[in-house]
Amino acid sequence: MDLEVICIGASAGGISALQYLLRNLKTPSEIVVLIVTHLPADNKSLLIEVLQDQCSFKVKEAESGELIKRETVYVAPPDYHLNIEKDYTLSLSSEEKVNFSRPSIDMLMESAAHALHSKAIAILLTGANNDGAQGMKEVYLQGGKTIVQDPTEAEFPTMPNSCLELFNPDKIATLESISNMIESFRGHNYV
Amino acid sequence: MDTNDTEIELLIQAIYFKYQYDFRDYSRSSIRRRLELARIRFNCDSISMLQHKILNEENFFSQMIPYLTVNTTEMFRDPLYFKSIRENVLPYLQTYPSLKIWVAGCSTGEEVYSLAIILREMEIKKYLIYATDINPHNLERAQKGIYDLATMQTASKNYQKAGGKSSLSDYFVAAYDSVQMDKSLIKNVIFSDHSLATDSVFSENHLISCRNVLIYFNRELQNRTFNLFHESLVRGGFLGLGTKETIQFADVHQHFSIIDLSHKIYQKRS
Repeated sequence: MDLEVICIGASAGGISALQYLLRNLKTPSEIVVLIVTHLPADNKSLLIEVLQDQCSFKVKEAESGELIKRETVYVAPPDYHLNIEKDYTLSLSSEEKVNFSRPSIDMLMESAAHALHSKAIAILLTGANNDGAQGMKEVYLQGGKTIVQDPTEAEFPTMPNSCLELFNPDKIATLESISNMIESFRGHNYV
Repeated sequence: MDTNDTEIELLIQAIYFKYQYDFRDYSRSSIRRRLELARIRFNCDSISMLQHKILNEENFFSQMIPYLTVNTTEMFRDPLYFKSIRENVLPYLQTYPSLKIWVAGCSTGEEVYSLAIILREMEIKKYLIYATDINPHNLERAQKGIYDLATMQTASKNYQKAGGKSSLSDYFVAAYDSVQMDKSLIKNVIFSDHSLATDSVFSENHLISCRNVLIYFNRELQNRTFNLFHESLVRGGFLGLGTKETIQFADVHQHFSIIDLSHKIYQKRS
């Protein structure tokens, strides 16, 4: 598969950061985006609408067994962990919370690390807890690309910082810079 | 494939050869995580060591089973699903002289008791429920019907949201930290082990409820299971899945019509 799978984790302060990144996605593209955010369950149905606004990709809730397609953003449903498999299908889980979170960013990133190895691209944004640091490290250990939002720009720097405490990611970057990096993953046919 | 991936594949094969439990088509991300938790819990330095214990220690495998399967469940889980069964499925099924219902992957039984309560409140008496699971320990617990009192508050709320006619406490007796479910609720229930991965059709049912089991299967096994469900339903029979599951990617999906899209209830076309 030629798809570029980009996993993004965001928590507190994440909506505007995600909107920024999603609004800058251009088509045509080989990119697929998988998102885990921590939001109270009742807000999730609005989340899809909010993220779809001005985004040229199709934004939808991830479904169990779904084969991922380019130019699509898949969002973890409330109260289920989201994983990606080696065959580029998505799977969901009701396993126990990780870092008090379900969905957990660690879970998504770890599954991407082991399914995609060096092809995994993982981005960690603003947040007020530690979820995602361990998962990002796993991506790094499996040879994937790791990008962390600059803590000085992040609305809540705790999550990016807890990642930086564990290892040195490939890039620490502002949203603008992250957006340009994502553009570079669009696919060799389109550059 | 890296070493860890190889070890996982070998362990799954080992379990299949030795115990005929087939985890070969479970989603790998989940299995990997579960095995890692087991490896740590049982103090094994590697997945291979865990495999060694599984193959060589008599009573070890039964301790592994709860690690390999996820058993999250509660009474009237996703209450609107049960409400939909009450409103959209059972009134139709009431016209049959007797019903066969299969709860596939019943875990510790909470959803079985939930269905039995609804059937009682709708005064449907002629039915048989097959409640199956691959974990014999779960089946034992389901048969006993003893649950934590602490879970009953949420359970009661769920029961009300599911259209409950009276009070959940009518159906259990509390003692200390536990509740004992009314045993008469399961007099028409047969608990049995059955593996969706390996076992075949055993009856034609009017309703199959299989919730949050398929999410742990890879796409191929999900597809085979939907074939099994299709064969295990009478024409016009109903299939209810977990809220985040779907039949749409399965080969047999065109043989089903959608009764309730948000609660994943489908009907086998006549």
